Amino acid sequence: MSTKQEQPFLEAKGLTKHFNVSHKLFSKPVWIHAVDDVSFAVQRGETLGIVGESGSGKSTLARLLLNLIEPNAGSVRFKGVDLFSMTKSKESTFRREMQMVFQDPYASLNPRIKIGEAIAEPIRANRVMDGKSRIEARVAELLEMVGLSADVAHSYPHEFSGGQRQRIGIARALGVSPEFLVCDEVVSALDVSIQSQILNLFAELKEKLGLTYIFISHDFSVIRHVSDHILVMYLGEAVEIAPVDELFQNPAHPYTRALISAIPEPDLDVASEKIILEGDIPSAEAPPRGCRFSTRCYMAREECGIRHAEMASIGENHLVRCSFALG
Amino acid sequence: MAEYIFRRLMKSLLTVFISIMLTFLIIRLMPADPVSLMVDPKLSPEVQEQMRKNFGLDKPIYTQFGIYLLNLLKGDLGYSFKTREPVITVLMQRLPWTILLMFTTLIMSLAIGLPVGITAAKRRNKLFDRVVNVLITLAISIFIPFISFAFLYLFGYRLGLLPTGGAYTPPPTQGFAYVLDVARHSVLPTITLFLGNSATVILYSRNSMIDVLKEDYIRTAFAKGWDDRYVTRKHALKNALIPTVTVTGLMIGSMMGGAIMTETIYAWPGVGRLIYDSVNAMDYPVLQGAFLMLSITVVAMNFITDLVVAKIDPRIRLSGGRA
Amino acid sequence: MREVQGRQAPDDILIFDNYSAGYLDDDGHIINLLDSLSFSVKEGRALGIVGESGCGKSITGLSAIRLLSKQLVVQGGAIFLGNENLLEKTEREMQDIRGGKIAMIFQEPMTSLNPVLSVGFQIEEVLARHRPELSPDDRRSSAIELLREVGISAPEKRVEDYPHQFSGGMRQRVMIAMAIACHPLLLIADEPTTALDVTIQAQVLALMKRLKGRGSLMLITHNLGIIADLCEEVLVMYAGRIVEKADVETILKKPIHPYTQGLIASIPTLRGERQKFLYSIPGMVPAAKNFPSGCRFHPRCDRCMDLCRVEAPPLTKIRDGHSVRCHLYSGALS
Repeated sequence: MSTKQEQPFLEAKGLTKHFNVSHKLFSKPVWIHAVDDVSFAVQRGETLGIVGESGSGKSTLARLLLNLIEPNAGSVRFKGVDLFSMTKSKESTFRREMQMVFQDPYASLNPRIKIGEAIAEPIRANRVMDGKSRIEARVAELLEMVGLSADVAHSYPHEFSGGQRQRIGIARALGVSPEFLVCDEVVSALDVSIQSQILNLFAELKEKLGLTYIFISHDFSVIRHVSDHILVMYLGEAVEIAPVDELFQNPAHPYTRALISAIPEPDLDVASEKIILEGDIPSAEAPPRGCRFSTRCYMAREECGIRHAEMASIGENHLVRCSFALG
Repeated sequence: MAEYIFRRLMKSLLTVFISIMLTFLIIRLMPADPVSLMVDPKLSPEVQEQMRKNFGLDKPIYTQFGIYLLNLLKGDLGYSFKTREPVITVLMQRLPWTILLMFTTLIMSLAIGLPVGITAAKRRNKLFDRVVNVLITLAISIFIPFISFAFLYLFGYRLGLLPTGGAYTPPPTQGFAYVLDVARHSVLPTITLFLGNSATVILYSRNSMIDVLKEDYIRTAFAKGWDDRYVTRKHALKNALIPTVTVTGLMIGSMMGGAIMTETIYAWPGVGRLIYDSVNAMDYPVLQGAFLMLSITVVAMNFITDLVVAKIDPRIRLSGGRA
Repeated sequence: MREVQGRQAPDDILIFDNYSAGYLDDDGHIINLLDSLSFSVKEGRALGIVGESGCGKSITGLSAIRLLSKQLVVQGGAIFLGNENLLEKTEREMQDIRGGKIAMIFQEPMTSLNPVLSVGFQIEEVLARHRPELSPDDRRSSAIELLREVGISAPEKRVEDYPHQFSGGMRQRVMIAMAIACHPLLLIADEPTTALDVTIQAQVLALMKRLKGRGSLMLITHNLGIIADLCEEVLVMYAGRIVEKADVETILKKPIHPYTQGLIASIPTLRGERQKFLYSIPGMVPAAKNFPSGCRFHPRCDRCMDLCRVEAPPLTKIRDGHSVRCHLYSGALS
């Protein structure tokens, strides 16, 4: 794409995070394998979509990328610099360049602080600029950028609808002029008609500001719409990663295929046979042995329960974690 | 379930051990030296020293604690400084009276508090509920000595209906007459304790019932075609009981505090009164024993509460509270 | 009893006839929510009600079993089950209908089952209520049979288990077992799979599909994909009104109301060319207290006319089985 093809904008290698979820005095630690050995790369100006169901570890992965929690193993390189080994002062600069937008921005807004203040706060905290009038002008500019009028700066969070709050959340993240946004389930709580507005806003901002996105969602159709590459996760592991069109034309992992086919489509002409997976998603406390998907896989053979498959390439930029998908 | 009981039991034992250690230390850290109280200062220093030795007060504190623990295991709580009787004997004389008082209060608080709280929740914001709410606020903010003296003045002195103190009219009579006499004596202390405790029960049962009635499964039960009575009895009640029972268990501790005041004012010969007297007399062994007994009672009651909650709530019964 | 136009059709199980409902605000005024709903659910068929939050679809479902919360008041119209107007029934008579002739399942499987009662008990109590002739043993064996039917393995054992021992998908299966226990004429399902993961949702939808045809289904959802999967007829609701009603094919392929068209165009798809921008309806979903005058969709409509601002369009029949509430088709222009 660009000349920087050799050095990705963001690169994660072998990211692993286990949580101890047992807080009992007399019991053994219980480890949740939230994220296990996940690797990928994102090029500047692209969108990587991460899709998965509950327990897939997609939200933990987001927090690892932003250095909000520390991984047990693995590394994240942002513009070629290792995030976990950089100095504090450098870290704050990088933190500014990477921002996060959440599912419910209302939860992170103080109900007694006016919207304008809430948006100005990260600008001040990061010393992006100073001077009351300059900051006010910047807030007005941000509000207009996300499709709100500048005079809502004097309103309080409760006066806004879900879609407007999400716009405020975006304005807040953009205040420090980041290059990279991690969007975690940002349209999941929204109605369809509002969801499309917000997705369009993200597309518009990407074009205008040259942003790079990681988009996390459980909704495969949303992910397909926004992404250039897609990473499919299951129980803390990456099971497939591919460019979006390649993934939909040749989904290789049985889980990816099942996930796509499981989505009810508002289209009567789709005659494809649905793949209905048996059973529940296993607990991340005790992921199945061998291939983690083997307990629900309709293609599983005996060895799948024993041998743990590694990510392997089956085409250009197309990796899959399945012994049989390789052919 | 077995694992759950075992874990709770271990926790209870640990709590008792810590409270033994704390009472032991607190008493030793008190400013006054007990020997100077018991021993006539005119006695010669040698004799005083001998007495300290007899009580083991000359040894280092951890040795004293070790000896204390060993004796505890044998049921030996030492001897009262004041009466020279074994502490265990003193306590055993008093304990039944306190148990009588607390047990009656507890049963009454639950028997009256639960129905009132639940009815108030069902008639939320209606007259009954409003009246109950006012009464709860009053009862919770009542200062025990104040209400006790008011009762004594009114029923004991002005109306002469009830005795003003003690647990029975000396000398104790026999049979039914004795029971009746004790009952008459226990009316005022019981009611005094009942006021505050029943208010707590009402408050919690009312609020948890209100919360439970908003739950989705209540709507499910109505959608099955059942009537209000059935839904309340079968679906709401058990769920509302869970927090109420937990709070009742915790209430036992504060009831003990209330019992000290109540027993003192009504001259009720229980452990509370004993604590009051022992503080005045600086009778440390008795105090230590009484505190220990109180903490064991509280821990035991909490343990029982846990069992009751586990009995009601399958999430605890079947997965040891991990769900 | 009033003679109703739609009621003559012999195969209508449930008929909403000009039904309106509102809620009481803090000052005691009634704010209209559902406005003149008229539709019917046909025997053995599935009607989907689709709309965004606040459009009144859930309240419509609860109206049919008269389980509205206290703030909600009926403002007029009738709801017929067969020939009987449910709004004229006493509470006692309604109790005989709930769970018996009309059953309902709800969105939250995690909280819709009572945590302190076994799932067996919770299924059996539906039978105890409506089929008193059954002995406790009969009820137990029916409960086991029902659990088997909804795809729960080892039902003899699981019948004793409590809700927390089941996953979300399994709990929704238990809810379905309870709902079908007395073979209701009508099953109302309010967002039955919304809280579930996609692969689990697919399981539950497959189950519902398998059970289809035993009775009628009223499926309330925001997801047109689920409607396409399960329903024959569709109501599209917006701000308390039916804006379009037709068979599923018409709604998905040839919708004519600007809202229906916009809604379908807004959904990102799994197939076809990916566009950089999605179609989007401007503005916000209004709350009941500020429903617009005239056509409630007019502030967001790109084909809004002067008339739309002042006058509510009537539900106009385009052809048999297809009606729309829009001035473009009401004949008001000609």
